[in-house]
Amino acid sequence: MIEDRRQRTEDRGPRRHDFRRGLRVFCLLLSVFCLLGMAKAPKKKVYVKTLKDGSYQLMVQGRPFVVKGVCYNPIPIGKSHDHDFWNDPEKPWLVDGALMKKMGVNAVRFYQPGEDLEAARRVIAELYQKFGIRTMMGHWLGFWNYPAPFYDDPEFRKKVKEDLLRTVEALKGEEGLLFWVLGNENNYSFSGKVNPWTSERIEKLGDPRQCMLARAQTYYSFVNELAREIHRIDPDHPVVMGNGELICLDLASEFAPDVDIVGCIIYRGKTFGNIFKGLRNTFDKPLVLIEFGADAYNAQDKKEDEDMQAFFLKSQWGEIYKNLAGSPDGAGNCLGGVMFEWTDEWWKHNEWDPAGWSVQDTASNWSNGSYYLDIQAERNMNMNEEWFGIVKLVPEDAPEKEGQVPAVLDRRQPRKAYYDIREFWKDPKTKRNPRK
Amino acid sequence: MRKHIFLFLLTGWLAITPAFLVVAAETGIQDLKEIDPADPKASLAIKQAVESALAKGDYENISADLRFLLQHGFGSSPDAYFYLAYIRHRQLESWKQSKNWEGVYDRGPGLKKEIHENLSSAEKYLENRPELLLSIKFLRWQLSVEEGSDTEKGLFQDLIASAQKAPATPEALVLIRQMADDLSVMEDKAYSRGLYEVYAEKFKGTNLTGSQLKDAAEEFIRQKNIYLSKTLFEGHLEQFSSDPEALARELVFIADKYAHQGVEEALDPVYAEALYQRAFELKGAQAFTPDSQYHRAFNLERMKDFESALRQYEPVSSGDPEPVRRREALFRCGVLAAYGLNDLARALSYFERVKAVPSDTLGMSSLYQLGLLNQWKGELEKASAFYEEFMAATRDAGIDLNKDELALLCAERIREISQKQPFPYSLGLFLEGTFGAQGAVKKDFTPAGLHVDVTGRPPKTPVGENIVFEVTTSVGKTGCMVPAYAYEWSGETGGLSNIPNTPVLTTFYVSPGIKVIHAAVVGNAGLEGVGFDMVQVEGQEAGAGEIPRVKDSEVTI
Repeated sequence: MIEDRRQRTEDRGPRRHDFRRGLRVFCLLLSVFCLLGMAKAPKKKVYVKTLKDGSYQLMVQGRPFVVKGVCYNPIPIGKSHDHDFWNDPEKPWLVDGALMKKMGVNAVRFYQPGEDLEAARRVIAELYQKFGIRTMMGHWLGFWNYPAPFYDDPEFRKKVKEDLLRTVEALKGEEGLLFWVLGNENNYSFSGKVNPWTSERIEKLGDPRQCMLARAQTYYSFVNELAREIHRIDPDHPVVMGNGELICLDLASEFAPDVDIVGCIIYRGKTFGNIFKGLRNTFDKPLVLIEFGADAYNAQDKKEDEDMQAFFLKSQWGEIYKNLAGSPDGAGNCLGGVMFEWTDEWWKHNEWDPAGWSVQDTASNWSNGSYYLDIQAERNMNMNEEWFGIVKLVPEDAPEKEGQVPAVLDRRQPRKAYYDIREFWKDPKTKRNPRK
Repeated sequence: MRKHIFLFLLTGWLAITPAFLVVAAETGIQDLKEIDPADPKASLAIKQAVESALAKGDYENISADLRFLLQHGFGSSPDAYFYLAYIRHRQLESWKQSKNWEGVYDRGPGLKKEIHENLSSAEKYLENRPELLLSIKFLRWQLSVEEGSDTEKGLFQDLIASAQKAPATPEALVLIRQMADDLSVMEDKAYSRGLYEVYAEKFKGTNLTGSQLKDAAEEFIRQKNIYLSKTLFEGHLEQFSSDPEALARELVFIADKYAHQGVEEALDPVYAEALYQRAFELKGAQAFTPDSQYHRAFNLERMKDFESALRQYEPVSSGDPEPVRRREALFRCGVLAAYGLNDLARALSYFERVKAVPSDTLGMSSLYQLGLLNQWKGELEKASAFYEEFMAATRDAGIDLNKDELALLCAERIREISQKQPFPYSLGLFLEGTFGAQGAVKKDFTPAGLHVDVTGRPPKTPVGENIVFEVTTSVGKTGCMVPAYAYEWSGETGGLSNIPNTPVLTTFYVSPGIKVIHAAVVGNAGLEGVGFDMVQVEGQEAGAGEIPRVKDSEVTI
């Protein structure tokens, strides 16, 4: 009996030992799980936080961040849009970055990297490491393909997707990266009036309104697919969808719900009007004004007008700040803005004529009544594409070197807007801005 | 004396520098540092010295001189303090002009502080100097605007109050007017209007007669100061408040000044129509002379208010004592009814009435229009008859059928009918956009798409002079991406041999008459919209090969 008991005890000995060991392991595991459960999930580097009042706030490395950006496309005088500035030996971003930093710029927007992604990576890194300037990296999504973008063609979409994801893979690790920006004003093509594209399926619908809706659905669904892919590859950086005005965003809310931020391109002169509240009602996402601004050429008076440009930009920034999170009277959905643009671009008016790239053309390319100060120009053509720079380019005489094409960086001369916005950012109260 | 004040006020400011510094006679003082504070000419001497220095762009030496004065007997001189502030403000302005933004933004705050301090001192020591007080308040307000200060509105009210209180001396009036002129370039016109109103009140208070106010207002029209002219005209109208007939007459008289008249751009066509409307409400059609009735209609036509224009041309077409103008009005009614209101039947009835006298230019043009509209309706026999009538009349008048534009157009239409060909592309598009599909004409057809305006400038011009037609459209938002449109011009396109596909067409006409020109705007998806305009070409009496102009005695309508 006793033996039995001993035996049982002996038998239980290792079992008890096992039990104790199991208990210890269990407790340890439990502690680990508890600790893991209590600890917050690792934060994304860049994300949008929704505040208690429903406002949106951009967080970058754990701190609130207001986008004070400029579109950056440093094409030198005499070159055109196909110039590979990413590999420019003059490294314009070093001169520009220093000037931007002095002004208070904290982000630049590139429309698309060049073929050489390593060069793009270097530029992003240098802008961030030397000046603290972050990069919004864009992709045209094939919008400027000739003869037209074919968003209803699977082969075309595949190509665009591959190119975009190759870019994301190559640049996602850069510390200076802020957002991915998909498209620009691609939605204007839905009407069939600009960069028209279609397909047999769409044409069969016949009715122009139905064709437009079909194009919108096709395009926004594609953007959504891309946003989801980017989230999978790079969860650290939000995806912005570029859109001209608020046009068709009601459809985007249905077909592109996975984009994180709406990036609007707005040219409404002094005010953005109802855009902030309008977006709340159509596609309630955070908003970055990824392109807005004013040109510095008065087409009516036929002369440079820095006051005019500064006036519009200052008014526009006033509205952006009024609609940031925490601002009492606004919609609280704006994360900041990106002015168009850092430097003038001399190639734009007649891009197919190389002689025109060395001349700052004063001919107007389009008309916009919201920029009312020079709307009485001939045929109301008041928007001068080559004069949107916050900084103007001044040709420098290049030192002649035997047998070499002289290369020298165009001198940068900040316009009035540079200083006006610098002062505004220092003390961003909404000041009265009567136009003199 | 009153007349002298009046003349001075009308012309005085022209001789004054932009800085509203009224320069009087020489003081004879050479060196600013030698001025005696007790010298009654001291203020003037300071003014002159400042002006002279500013003209040379010297800000530092003159500031040093003024500071010297402050320490040597001028410590309580408001002039010295004011001009110190004024000089610094001008210095800041000069930096802005020369785009010295580093100076404006980096040194500017220090300068502004100095300006504020000196203005406060100037005001502190100021006694019974209304003009200087105005200058101080104006500068203080200017500064607050530049700084985006919240006090800016209050300071402007303060300035207005000081201006109202200032005695109506010629100097004060000139100063107020100068300030208002300076502010008239601001986007918010309420600023300059506020001061113009004070100026006008004071001006009226100088016991000028009603007719002098009217003369002054007309002088301001010549100077293109539209707002001030309107304000003074309103003052002039006050004297007729108890006499509706006279008031209506004066309203029309003034409206004619602002309305479209033909050659030059109108000063304010909308204001003109508002005055015409007021006059009509007072006395109905009696308020209008035949000229004014015509001006009102023409003004509305140029404003592209086609329906109202047609309504106003109706009384001209039936009641104007000049037969030529009656026929002109009828013809314009026809064009407006056809291409402005898309009312083909109504248009035909007008043209039928004009063609009753086919030997003049309007009769000939009406025959062509009748042919064209009938051809579009599918009434080809009728159309041919009108065209043939035109050709016969033209031949009878000894006109070269191979040179006259309308004759060439008629020949083209006749050929189309005989060969069963469609209209040329551009004309067909325009008519389709105006009336709907050919042969299925219906009233009130509204083409979808763009609103298209065609405007010819000038709307009345001599034979052989250039006229520029422009198409403007209501383009939907497409950012900087401009839709690619083709502009298809048709109708009487004048002597230009190659008609471009562009929105601007510059042409000329070799024969007189009212020319009707059309444009169709074509986009990727086809026809987007249509527009038209009429221009009146005036020439010498008809010579060989020209269509004879109508003489009053020949007309029976």
